[in-house]
Amino acid sequence: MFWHIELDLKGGIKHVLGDVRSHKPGWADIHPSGIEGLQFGFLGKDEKGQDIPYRLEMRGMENYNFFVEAAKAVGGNKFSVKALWFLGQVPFSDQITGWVLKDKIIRISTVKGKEYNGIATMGWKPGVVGAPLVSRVWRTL
Amino acid sequence: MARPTVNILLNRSGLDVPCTNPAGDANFILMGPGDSLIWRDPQQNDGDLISGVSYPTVIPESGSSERNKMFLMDYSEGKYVQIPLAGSALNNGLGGNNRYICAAYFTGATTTAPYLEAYDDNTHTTWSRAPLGSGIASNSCFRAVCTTNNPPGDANWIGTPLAGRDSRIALDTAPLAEAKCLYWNIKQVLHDWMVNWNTSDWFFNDLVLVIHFTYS
Repeated sequence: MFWHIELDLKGGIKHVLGDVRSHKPGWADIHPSGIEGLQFGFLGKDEKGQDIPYRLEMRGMENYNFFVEAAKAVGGNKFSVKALWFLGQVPFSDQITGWVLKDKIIRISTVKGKEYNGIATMGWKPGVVGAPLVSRVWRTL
Repeated sequence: MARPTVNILLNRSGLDVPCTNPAGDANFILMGPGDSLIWRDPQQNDGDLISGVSYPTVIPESGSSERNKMFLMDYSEGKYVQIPLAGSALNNGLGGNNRYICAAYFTGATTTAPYLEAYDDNTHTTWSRAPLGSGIASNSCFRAVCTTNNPPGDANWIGTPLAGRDSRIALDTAPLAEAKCLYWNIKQVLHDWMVNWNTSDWFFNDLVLVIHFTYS
């Protein structure tokens, strides 16, 4: 499945959020007691413009966050999605790791409170610590 | 926290009062598709036809000067709409320590504080053109100050140069928890060294102001 965040929640529950490209990705509307892991399938492009399937996975984080970066021009109705941000807080530390998906895939490594271009973000959800840390993006074909 | 709608409004009155309606009110006019901002000489007046005579501002012989009048170019009406309180008192008009000039009405919450930024074009990726400082943010013609929570604080306010992500202004001190109207004041400053610009720099019309925000 592409463009939907898939969550593994505490208690073996799986939950799939809305299409991140829609007006309602759904992250802000969930209140999980604990996220064991997060996966996200998306399509990139190769040099010939062909779709390339990728998958992003984060697991074992103390907290997770996701948000869409967007822009609206002054003097126009044009709204555009600029990037998708997936963040995780390394357990028992202020270290933030994660990924920004835009016209390229960027790995993030920063500290809590400065995770978005040097500023803090809202919307963090609790994780379940104890499992090995995973933060990776890979091509699935 | 669904994606908020963002309405851009401009205060066309001489009253420094907040916007009371996200669709516009007696003081604020909603910017429509294709509308743009422009600065002109004092001879240009509110209600002048866009198809009529335009009065550009003269570059100062030395030093810098703030352009005199800011207008909304209302393409649906074909007219210049003056935004009289825009800018600082250095524009020799009604500019000054004014708070409610430009507004961005958000219909819902955001994950981070929204920013006002300026780019070369609607790809929002570069800010290297001459009006944005040719790579030196402090040389950008456009200067803005956030007035969501307070007026600029000085009639001769300096403002922050706008040049992509290198130099921008946050429109609030924190992420928005609910629907809210954010405000800023803006001006354009001309410098004597702009006489060295190429003609194409002056007639480059792709520059865009952008509200950058996040949601989840």
